[in-house]
Amino acid sequence: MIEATEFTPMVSFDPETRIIEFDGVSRPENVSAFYNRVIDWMTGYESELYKNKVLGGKKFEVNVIFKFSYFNSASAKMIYILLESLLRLKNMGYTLNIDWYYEEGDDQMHDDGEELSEAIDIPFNFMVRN
Amino acid sequence: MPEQKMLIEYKGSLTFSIISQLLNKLKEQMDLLGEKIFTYKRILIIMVEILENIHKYIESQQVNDNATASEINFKLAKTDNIYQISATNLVNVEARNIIQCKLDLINKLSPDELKKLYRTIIANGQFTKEGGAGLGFIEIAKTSQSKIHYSFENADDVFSYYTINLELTT
Repeated sequence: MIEATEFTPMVSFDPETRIIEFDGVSRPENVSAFYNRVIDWMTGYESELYKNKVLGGKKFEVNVIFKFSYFNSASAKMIYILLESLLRLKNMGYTLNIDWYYEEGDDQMHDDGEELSEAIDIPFNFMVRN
Repeated sequence: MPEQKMLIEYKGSLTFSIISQLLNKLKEQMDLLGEKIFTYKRILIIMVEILENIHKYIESQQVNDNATASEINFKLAKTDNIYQISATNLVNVEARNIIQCKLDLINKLSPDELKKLYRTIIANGQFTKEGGAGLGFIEIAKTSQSKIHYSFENADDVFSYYTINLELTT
């Protein structure tokens, strides 16, 4: 788990529930350094799920929760790279469930999610955060 | 004549920590004005992209030892229901040409064409040598839903004062 800071989101993965979660602001001073840790981990997870597929294991559901309050354009590029990795899991036959949270009235965050969902061509569930 | 209210005015060197201070000031001003979250987020996006673009440029030029070259003049003002955002900093000829080329292209695009360009760059673009994703100006244009005004004023043979100007109607 990566703790949130004023400029970077909390990132967590629960192996029990297989939930990947992002929560907070994403405006790292060095966006590559921050997200490369997450991408490296995601690449490992992808290999694990690929092996599971080859060995005929159960195709479980992969849950992703995005709860960004703000992200800059450089972070959007990194989120897209993570979505590409999730798309590969979907193409392996795993079910993807992506929840995109936004604050009530924050149409901008809703639209940003819609933009990413359309760009990667994976449907998101849009949810108002409490 | 409607009165212009200055919300943020900053002249000085630009660092990552100064950007944070300016963004905190924006939040304070939005709370004081009781502004809607949608408007606050739009201004936030434009401010971050403008300031981070300039900051990345300053860092890439390693001009921090030169006080004038790392300085910016940033303003956020409001007149009636229009927010005006402007920033001025010193750029060299190479940067001037790149900025001019990018902004002239973006200003010609319709909202649908901007969306297409955004998707192409997010899917295929590489990070620039300054560490940006090349999406900043597109994000600004998409968010402001208006043309990006800009100007250059010669400082000497090599450097110009570059000003970017946005208007956001609420």
